[in-house]
Amino acid sequence: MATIALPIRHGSLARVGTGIPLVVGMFGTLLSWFGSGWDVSWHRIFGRDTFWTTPHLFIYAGVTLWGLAALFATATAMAGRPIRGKPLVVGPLRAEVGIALIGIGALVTILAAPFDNLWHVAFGRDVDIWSPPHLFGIAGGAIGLAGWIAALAPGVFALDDWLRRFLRLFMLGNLCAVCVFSLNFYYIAAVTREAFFYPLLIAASVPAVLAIGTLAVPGRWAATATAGAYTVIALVGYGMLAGSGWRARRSLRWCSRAGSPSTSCARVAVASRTRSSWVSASASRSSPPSSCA
Amino acid sequence: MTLFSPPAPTSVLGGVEPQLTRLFFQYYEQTVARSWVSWWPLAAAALGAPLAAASWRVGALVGRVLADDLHAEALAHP
Repeated sequence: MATIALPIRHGSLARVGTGIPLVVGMFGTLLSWFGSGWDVSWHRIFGRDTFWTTPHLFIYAGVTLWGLAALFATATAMAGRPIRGKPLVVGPLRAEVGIALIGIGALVTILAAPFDNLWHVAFGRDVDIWSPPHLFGIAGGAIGLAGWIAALAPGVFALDDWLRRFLRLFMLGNLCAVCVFSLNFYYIAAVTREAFFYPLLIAASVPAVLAIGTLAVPGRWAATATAGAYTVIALVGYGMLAGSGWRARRSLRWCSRAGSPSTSCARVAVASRTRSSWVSASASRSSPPSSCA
Repeated sequence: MTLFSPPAPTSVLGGVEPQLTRLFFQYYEQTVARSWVSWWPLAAAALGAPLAAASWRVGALVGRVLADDLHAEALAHP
């Protein structure tokens, strides 16, 4: 009797133990993804701001859902759910490596929140993305997304293969988006995308994600599909922001706030003025790209 | 390429921000204002190619760990 009942119990535990984290985690990913895009738009519209903005709450609510999903999956694994694929065992804690990475990424990002709040208290409003707590939070997001890519291996979640590959591509696209987001003002204001340092930053970060894509989504055109996923994700986010009236039309208002000693703000100002003077000096030539993203 | 290019515009902000050096302004003027007629994109390509190759290799190493698929037992989901 026991030999029959045990697998049934474990089977049910496996479905619940991975099904609920999958749904909760995906919802969290959507919240964080939209929150990140909205956050950039928010800063471009309102300038520098405090920690407690609505987009930040979206981001942190999403990451908290990641953490809850990983906790639930870990708890069910400790209760006897069979672990699929490579396990990570730390003392009594045990789960799939991917799910563990999701939890670690969520923890790192959540720990970055009070650090960021302290940073704001100490130094005032955000100057740019390249502050230690921000970089800490971005690293957590990247670890969590890497965890999702690993967790979406065959067999971990009860998914059709096409859906599993689609979700992996979605996570790879988001990982590209994290790389681009971490480029700070190079991402926020198109006018800053100059011809030397910006291409080097892209060359250092994005090819790594494309290479991960070739292994995570085997087959031809995997790197192209990864780049395509990022493009679609960016365009959908852009469309949602535009449709809801949140698309920023000018990006330099955050620099026009007086009193900022920030080098990065000055960089944007220089870039903007330089391009303006270029436009006025060369009106007869072909016009340069638009000054703002 | 740079023989017949127009002169780089000079910044109107020079001296306003004392933290920035003249070299910094010059760099931004050249790379932003007339990037396609300067040597900066070529320098970026020369340095960026090995950088991108190194990034790809790092990604491949990480990807091998992350995409450790096709465990026989993993495919047998109840």
